[in-house]
Amino acid sequence: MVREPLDNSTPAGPPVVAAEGAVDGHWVVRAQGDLDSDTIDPLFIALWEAAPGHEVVVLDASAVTFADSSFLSLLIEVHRRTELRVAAPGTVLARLLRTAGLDRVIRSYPTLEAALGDPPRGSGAPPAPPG
Amino acid sequence: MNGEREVLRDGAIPADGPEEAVGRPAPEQPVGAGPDPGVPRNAAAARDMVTRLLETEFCVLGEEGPVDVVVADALLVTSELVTNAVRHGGGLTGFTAEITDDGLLLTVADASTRAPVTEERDPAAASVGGYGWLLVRRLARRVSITYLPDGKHIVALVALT
Repeated sequence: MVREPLDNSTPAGPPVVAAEGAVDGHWVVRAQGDLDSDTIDPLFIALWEAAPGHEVVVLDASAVTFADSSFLSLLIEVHRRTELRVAAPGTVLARLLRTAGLDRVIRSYPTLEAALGDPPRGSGAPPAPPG
Repeated sequence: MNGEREVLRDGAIPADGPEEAVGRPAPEQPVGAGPDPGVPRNAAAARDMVTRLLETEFCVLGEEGPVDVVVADALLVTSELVTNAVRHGGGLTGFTAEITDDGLLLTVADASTRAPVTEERDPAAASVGGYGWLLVRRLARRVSITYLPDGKHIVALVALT
C-alpha cells in the first residue's frame, strides 16, 4: 500500500497572498503565483474578509503567473460585495478575463497606482455595460 | 461492480479538501485498476507536464510573442480538465499530452461515467462558478467525450499556432 506523505497535501510554491494592507485609503491584497482550485483558498479568504469593511478592494495581480476558472469565481464573489479592482493583470490574466467575457464585468487597471487613484464608484458594483 | 465503486470514490472526496482528495491513498482500489504512476497528482502537476512538453517542442518558450498565448491556453485547458476530473469525476485516472500535427492533444481520464460539469453561465450575468467548461469550449478546437464502463475519457485539442 502506498500512502502519500502528509506534506504532500500542502500545495507547493509560495503563499498566494504575498501581502495585504491599507494603501491610500484602499485595501490592497497582493497575490502571487499560480491560482487554481487547490491553491486559491487563502486569497479567497483575504478578499472575502476585506470586502465588508472596505468600499474599494484592490487585487494587485502583477505577480500572478497562472489562474483558472476558480479565480474567476472568486472575482465575481468579491465583486458582488465591494468594488473590486484588479490591478496590473498580466497578459495571461487579461486573456483569461476576456475569454470568459468577464473583462466587461471586472474592472481592471494597468497599474496599482491607477487602481488606487480612481475615485470610488459609489455603493455597490456598477452593472456591466451592454455589448 | 462499477457503479458501487464510483459511489465509494465519490463519497471519499471531501467537499472542500481537494488536497486530501488528490493525496488520498487508494487501498480499496482493485489491483491493476489504480492510477497509473505517471498520472499527475493535481492540476499543477499536469500543467507542469504540459509546460515541459511545450518547452521541448518550442524552444522559444518564454520569449515575447504569440507563443505566450498558446501556452496560456494549453495550460488553462489542462487545468480545467484535470480539476474537473479530480473534483467531479471521482479522481484523475489517466492523463496524456502529446503534440500532433493539429496541435496539443490532451486526454484526461476519470473514474466517473457521469457527464462532465458542463453547465454554462452567461458571463454578463456575472454568475459565480461555471466558467471551467466555458473556457474549455472556447479555447479548445475540439472536445470529445468517450464513456467507458468504469469512467470516461475527455480528449481536447488545443491549437498551437
